[in-house]
Amino acid sequence: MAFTKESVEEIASLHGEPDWLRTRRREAWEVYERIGLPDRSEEEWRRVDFKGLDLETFAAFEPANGAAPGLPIEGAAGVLQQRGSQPGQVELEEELRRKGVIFMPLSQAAKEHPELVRDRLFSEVKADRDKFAAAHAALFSGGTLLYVPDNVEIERPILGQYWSSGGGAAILPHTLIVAGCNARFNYLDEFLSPSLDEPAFTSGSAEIFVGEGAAVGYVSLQKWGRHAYQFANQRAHIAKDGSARIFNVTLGGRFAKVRCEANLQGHGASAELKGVYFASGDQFFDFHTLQDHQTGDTTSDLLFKGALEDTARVVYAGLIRIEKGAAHSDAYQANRNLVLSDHAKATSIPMLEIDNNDVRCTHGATVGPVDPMSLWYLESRGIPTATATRMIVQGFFGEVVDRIPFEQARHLVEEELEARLG
Amino acid sequence: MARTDELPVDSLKHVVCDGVEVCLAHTENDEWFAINDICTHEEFNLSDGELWGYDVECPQHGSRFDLRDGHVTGLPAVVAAQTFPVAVEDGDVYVEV
Amino acid sequence: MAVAPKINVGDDYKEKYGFFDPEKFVFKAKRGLSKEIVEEISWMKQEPEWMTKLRVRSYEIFKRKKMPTWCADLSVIDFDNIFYFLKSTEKQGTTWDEVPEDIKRTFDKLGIPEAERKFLAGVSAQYESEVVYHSLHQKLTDQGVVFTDTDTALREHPDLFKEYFGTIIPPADNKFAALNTAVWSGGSFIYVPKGVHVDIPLQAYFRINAENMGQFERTLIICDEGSFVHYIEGCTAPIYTTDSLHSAVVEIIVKRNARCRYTTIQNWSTNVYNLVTKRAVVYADATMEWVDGNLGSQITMKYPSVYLMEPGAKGDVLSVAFAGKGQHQDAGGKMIHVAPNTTSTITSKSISKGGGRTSYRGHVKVYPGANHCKSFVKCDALLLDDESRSDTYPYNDVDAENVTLGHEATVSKVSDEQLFYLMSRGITLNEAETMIVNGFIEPFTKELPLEYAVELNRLIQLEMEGSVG
Repeated sequence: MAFTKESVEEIASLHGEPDWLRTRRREAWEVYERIGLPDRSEEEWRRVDFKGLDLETFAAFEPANGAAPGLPIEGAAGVLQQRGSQPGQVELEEELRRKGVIFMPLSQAAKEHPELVRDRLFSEVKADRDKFAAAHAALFSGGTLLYVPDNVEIERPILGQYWSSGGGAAILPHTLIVAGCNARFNYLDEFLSPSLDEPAFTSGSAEIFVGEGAAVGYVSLQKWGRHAYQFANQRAHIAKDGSARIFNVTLGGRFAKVRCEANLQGHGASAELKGVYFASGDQFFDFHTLQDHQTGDTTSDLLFKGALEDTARVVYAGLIRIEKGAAHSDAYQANRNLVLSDHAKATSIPMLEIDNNDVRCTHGATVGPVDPMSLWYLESRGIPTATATRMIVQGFFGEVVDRIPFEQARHLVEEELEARLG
Repeated sequence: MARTDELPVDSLKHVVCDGVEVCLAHTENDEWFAINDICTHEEFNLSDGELWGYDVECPQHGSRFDLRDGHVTGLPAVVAAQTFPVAVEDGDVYVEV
Repeated sequence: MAVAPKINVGDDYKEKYGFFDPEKFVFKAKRGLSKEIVEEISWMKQEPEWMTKLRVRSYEIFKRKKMPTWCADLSVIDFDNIFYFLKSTEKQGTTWDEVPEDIKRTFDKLGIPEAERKFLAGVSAQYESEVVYHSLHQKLTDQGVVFTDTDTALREHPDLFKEYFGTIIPPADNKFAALNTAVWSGGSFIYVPKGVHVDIPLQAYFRINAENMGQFERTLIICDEGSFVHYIEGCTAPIYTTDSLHSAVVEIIVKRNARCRYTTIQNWSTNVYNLVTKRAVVYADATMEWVDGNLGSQITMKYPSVYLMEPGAKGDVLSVAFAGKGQHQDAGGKMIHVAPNTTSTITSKSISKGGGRTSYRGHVKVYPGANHCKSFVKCDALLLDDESRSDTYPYNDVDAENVTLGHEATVSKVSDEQLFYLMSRGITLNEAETMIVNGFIEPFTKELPLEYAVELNRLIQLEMEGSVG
């Protein structure tokens, strides 16, 4: 199944999707065919180098195969495991089912619960944003709907795991989370594959609808193999008094271009956007963040921290946008880069567009090496340089890892970073 | 990499040698040079630019490089470009990358 | 606390800077731009062939290059409606008596001869396209300092001129640099010899008088090893209903151990588009300081930059922007670290009021090998009402080891606590806001010579009063 119009039809048929979804895929495919690849004259793509990526060479679908990995966390209240592009297997606690929680592959949800999916799917993560987003919307396969009804609180996290074992294919899952009024829960998406020779085209996009007064924690842990090119768009739509805590962990892939956005729509809405990344070898990561304060009395807090090794390159570009009517907004944005090698390259572009004067808005960016004073302090206490450096890097990540919305994910991310530090 | 008759005097040509993008130059006094085609300033192709004596000028922002050793002769570029040896034999141009 | 006189800001600009004289000229090129006009300008100036060729080539580049789209909307500029060259007088004066009476009166009103007597070592006054008055203390002339208009420099210092002209900012750098190179006229040329310190400032004043005028001065400053100079420029224009264009190019070379300070108080009327390219290259242990104040114009786009070429080089940008109704100040700075152990700071203070928009746009770039660099950028924006807007666009690129780079920005309004405190002491709201704004930009004003600091505070006061009037 190649990147063709026929594949779009085939995927829709395979899942037995309703006509409206098939039409939506076709429209996305038209966009895909109409628009060219982004070029470097566009500011967002100026520093992005996806040379070596040829979309036409990928298979649009990867059948489930290979040995599946274990679950990253224990005691999840619900688990969806997807292998390749095949819609996943779902387990959900009976009690949650009784309370009306819906957790299933997205195409199944489109058939069974169109009232939840139809108006929301690709309304925040738009298909015409760029060619890669169009490919994702036309050819997505599997993915998840999680719906938590009004006033339902889920103690233990829900887990989505996406595993790919083949190269040369497109793995395009989509997570759709709908939180009813005052719902409370945490969700972890894990994306992983071994490193293979043949390149892969992956996404891992998420749309998160946070209802009035709801509180949603979302963690995305990306561990694709070093053959993968990832293009992901994560965006939360937050209603009155709702709160979204989004935590992005980017470790894998040869290339990752991730947008992480909060659309603050209701009074009293709040968003926490946090991220950690560790780039080594010849990895290239590009993060674009947006804190969009559409209305007043909204708060957002962003911190992206990362370490760079070897010849890795990282671009961070983030925007705080305060609309005219958004009085009493409070926004914070910071990007911190720790450069551990001579040849790594970091770009940091924290931007503000402020259209209202009654706001509090601060941002900052730093790029720097391991602080020589801290290093000297530790060494003077007899700690070897390598250990001291490692301690400093751990401390650097600690500040943001502490903000991971739930404990299981916190431990998991700590272990992953630990492993990367070697 | 090219035939000499493909490049009249005082012209530039884009060629790829072993995956390296090279700007081949035939100067007005009939000398041949090869320089990395990617401008060290903002990565536009020098071969789309102009030749001024021994200088090649980037079309986008006007950075200049000396074809003989790649050193910068005009801002905004500040990093020297890599140059490659060129040989001409029987109407064929060879570049050693 | 002195009580500010109640004057509407618009009226005051008109009275103080916005007046105009009847247009008189000895030569005025026809409206619009063409290859013929470019050649005509060069012919009028009796330039060498290489300059004519460079102008024509730059005109071609200008035509080819696209309008930038990442910034304020520039599509409103009608290049065909502008006069590109206007020569007001045949002869340049070296005493004010030699300057035609009406032009002299203009500069009298602007207080230039008075300032010259009091505290300047040299003055250049440009009216429309050419410099009409020029002076330099005899002592500096004796020390070998050259301070002249750029047209004269091309005739009298051809070698020095050709060595540097267009090497820092080539015509292809951007569309407006190409335009300037094609039609440049006037501007200052300064050469400070090795070890010479010009202790009191040199000033240039740029005045547009005619409607739909384009002013394209070109400035070249060369500070030889161990020298020092402080150059100040000011600019104003009358208020017309149709637009004028000011597009200057400034190139500066600061050699080993030298220091150059370049101060601008830009107060164009709000019908002027001010699109300026300023760049300095700085060598070992030398320092470049841009002190850049933007109050006037409709749109300003200006990002003074410093290329830190050798170890120990240092660059500073101190920028203040004030945008009132209908104004967009898009200003900032660029620091390009090419060599190791170089340092830079950018401090930006911006104030938006009455629907005005200020944007900070900056770039800090550290090239491979430029290890152990330090750069710090601090931007503070003050929004005086809920109609106004502030943007911050800092680009930070680090490609070397052991580099410490920091950027911080805050956006705020005048705090209620501060206002309450001042008003409880019997100060009116407007006076209190003015005091807070003047305090906010103090890091800038304290870098100015006293006379300019006083003038700037007064300008701010007038701008602030416009907000209640």
